[in-house]
Amino acid sequence: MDAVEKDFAESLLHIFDNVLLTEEMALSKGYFSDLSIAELHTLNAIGPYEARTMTETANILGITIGTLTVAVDRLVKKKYVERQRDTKDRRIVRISLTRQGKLAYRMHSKFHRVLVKRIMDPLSEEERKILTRTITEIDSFVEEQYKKYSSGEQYKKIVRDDTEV
Amino acid sequence: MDNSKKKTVEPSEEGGKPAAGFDRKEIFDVLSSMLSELLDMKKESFSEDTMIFEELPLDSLQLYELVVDLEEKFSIRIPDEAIEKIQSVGDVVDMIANAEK
Repeated sequence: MDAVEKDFAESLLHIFDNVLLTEEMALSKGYFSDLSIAELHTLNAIGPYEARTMTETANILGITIGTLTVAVDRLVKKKYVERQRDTKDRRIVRISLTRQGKLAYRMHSKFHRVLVKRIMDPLSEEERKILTRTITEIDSFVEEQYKKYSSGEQYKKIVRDDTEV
Repeated sequence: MDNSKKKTVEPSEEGGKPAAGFDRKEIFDVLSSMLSELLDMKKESFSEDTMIFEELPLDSLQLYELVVDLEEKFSIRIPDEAIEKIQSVGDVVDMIANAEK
């Protein structure tokens, strides 16, 4: 790794850590201090409009129905989410955000918009394009790695390669 | 977010009312009642020219309370980009009159 790559690697790791930390701090000092980041992301996956089924929501979050059920139970207790049975098919349970849940969703999405605005504002049109293209490429690359790890065979292969080094 | 089911509210044929069925006066009436309750101010304190952020003590949570309640009341969707353009009470009335259902 040369010096530029080293700086880049350090900055990238800092960004991951600091965005999460800042989000958590903003949350704990704000109006919705009883919500964790994971719970906020569950609210985001449910979204502020049409009620969603548990399966849809679990798929968006990439978690099992069992894990989601536990999360939703907690969010219902805290009055951020409500459950309704489908009027036509009583076996289907849909979940949607309460007024309080919608407020938390809106405030959280504002956090992300302010972050983007602060990063983009000092840049020229050309710089914005380059940054967006670069970020999109990083995103695809990380997503690819994630997919490799989530499929069993590839996962084993990567682990074996690592141990050989 | 799924945008495929959204449709823009067009003025309906009869009476020039928006499809949601509310005219500007009705919208203003509901809006000033909501602001009055939210800010504990008299309904008469608001006009279409009232500047929301300069003249009213509305914080960002109250702004979103207003947005969520307006969405519910008028069965519309108010995107964040529309909120960012708001300056006066009249702008909010326009936003609701032109909102997506």
